[in-house]
Amino acid sequence: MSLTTVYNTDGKARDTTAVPSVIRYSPIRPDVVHFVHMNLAKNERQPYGRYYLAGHQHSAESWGTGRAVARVPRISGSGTSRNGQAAFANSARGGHMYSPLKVWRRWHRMVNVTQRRYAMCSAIAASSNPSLVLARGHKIDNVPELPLVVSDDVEQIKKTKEAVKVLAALKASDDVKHSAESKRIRCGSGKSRNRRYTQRRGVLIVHDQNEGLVNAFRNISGVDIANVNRLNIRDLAPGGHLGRFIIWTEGAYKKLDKLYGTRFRTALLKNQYKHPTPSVTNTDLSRIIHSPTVQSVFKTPGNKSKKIINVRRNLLIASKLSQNNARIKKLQKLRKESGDKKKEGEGEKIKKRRKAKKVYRNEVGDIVKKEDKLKSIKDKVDKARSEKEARKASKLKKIADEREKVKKAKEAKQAELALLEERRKAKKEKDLALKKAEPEVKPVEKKRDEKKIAEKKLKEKKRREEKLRQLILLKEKKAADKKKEEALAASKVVEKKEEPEAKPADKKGGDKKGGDKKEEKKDDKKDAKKDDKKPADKAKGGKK
Amino acid sequence: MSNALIWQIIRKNNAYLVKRDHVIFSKERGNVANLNRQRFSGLANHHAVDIHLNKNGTKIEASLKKNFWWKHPAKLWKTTNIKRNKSTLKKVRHLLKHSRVNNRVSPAAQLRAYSLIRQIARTESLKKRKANKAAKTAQAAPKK
Repeated sequence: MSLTTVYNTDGKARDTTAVPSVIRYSPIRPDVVHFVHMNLAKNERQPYGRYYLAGHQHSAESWGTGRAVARVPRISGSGTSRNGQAAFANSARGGHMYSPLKVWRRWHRMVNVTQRRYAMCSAIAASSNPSLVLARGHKIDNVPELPLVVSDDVEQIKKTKEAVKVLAALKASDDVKHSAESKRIRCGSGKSRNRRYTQRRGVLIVHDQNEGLVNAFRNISGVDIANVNRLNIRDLAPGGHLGRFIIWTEGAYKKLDKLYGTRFRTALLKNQYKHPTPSVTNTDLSRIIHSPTVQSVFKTPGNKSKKIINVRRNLLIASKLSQNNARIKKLQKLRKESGDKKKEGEGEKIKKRRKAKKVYRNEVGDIVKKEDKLKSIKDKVDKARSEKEARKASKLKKIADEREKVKKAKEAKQAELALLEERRKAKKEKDLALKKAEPEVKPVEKKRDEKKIAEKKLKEKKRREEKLRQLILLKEKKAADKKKEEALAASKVVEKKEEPEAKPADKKGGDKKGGDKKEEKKDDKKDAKKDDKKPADKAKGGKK
Repeated sequence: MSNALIWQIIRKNNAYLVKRDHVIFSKERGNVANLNRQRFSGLANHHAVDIHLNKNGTKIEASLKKNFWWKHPAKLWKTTNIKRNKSTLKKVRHLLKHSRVNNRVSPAAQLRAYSLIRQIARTESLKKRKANKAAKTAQAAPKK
């Protein structure tokens, strides 16, 4: 409700605008509109009246009594049959009329400005409701939307042909056609008083600016034009009836807020005016009744008893209705007597009497025994019940059969699916088995890896050992050199004294020098086969 | 705008009122009983049914009023064509059951559908008779 679409001159939706507050919130009051329309329609009247001397242009006088004629004024003179005829009176021929019409009749009516504006707001709001526009008689079954807003391009149309096309595009041509085809010669004397034709009211086009629109549209039969700033209730509610079919231009539509204001802001183009708001905001009766606030206050609905209370018999109700009811008294008496006589046993007699009155009759009308009658009733009831149950059972059967069918279909499907799944599973298992067979290759690879690792380790060990040996050799060399030097130094001193003591030391060192290399080679070969401990021991032995 | 308000504005004066023999009828679209009463009114009800004949007069058009498009008269009514079958009434009933039309309106709608079905049947039978007659005359003419 808060947005209306704006249409192009093609008839296609272009945009949306907000609904002005007048259309959305002002109350729709046909009574106000009718009153205002009725009174404002009087303001176009021209005065009429009788000639003030009509019927009095005679010197008539009453003859008075005693002449065997009525006392009405009579035309004086002689020579014509007119003389002596009645004059002046409204009953006389050629006399004045009763209450001659005067020109100073009050022709025009003043209507309060707020009332006029109220009516305008109502009429504008009603024109946006399709039900009310239809009820007024417009042909809007194919119109895209109400309120119908066109872009401002319409205001610049200058050719009537284009105007007709625009109306056709907006699906307003149905209403225009309806109005144009309804042109008839007026009944009555109005036809000879410059009111020759009548036709239905068609579309009203409301614009803000006029750049050719008026000239384009005015010659189309069935189309009226109005300016937003000067809207007239006679256009918006012709005949005092709400719901004219209006086409708004965009500018005019947007100007309504300025002209009539919103709920909270006064109109800019009027002096401190806000359009009226309804006293009842929610007019939806059914919604009010079913709302929780109202429903919570209701009593719970009681069981509607189908028992028909016989007022004449039922003491309580009869006594409530009228205490002076003679019948009540009778009944009371009877009851008392029956109460007294119950002890004696005569109350039963009364009951019997009441029962005895009841007579059971056939469908034909013959009197029948009570048992037979009741039987027949029972049979009927039982028949009906059994038939109902049979129908129900058959229905249920049908439903059950259908369900079974559906179930079976489902089961069949499921079985198929299960089969498919089994096959898939079998396939999967095969694949898995195949896959499982493959990893036997892997431990072989691991062995190779182990071998490689072992080889690597051995290599590293060899390197370490070589390094150690080299270090040891170096040390030994150094030690040996030192010793040599010392030995040489000592031998030079001791050559004279003792030669063999130095020699075994040199020999050992010399042997070690020369022999170690050979032994190293031999040891390398041996070490590849043997453990790690031996070269370490040899190194230790070497150090010694 | 609520149904109640619209009805109060429309009830005494609208373009579709027809007064005959002290009974007030109403011939707007959506009025299935053609009575001027709020319950049956096609204008003063957000949800309404309309049942009438096809343009050709061969099928039944049942149209439902969709309140969502209350501002758009072009889209207000959704029509379905129903052939004349054993099951036309069933379909009409089904439509009514699953619409938001007032419960009390449906018997009138069904009655209307039924009478339209009979109408279609009559036209079809007339056509058949004419065809048969034409065939017979055609047979008789060459013989002569």
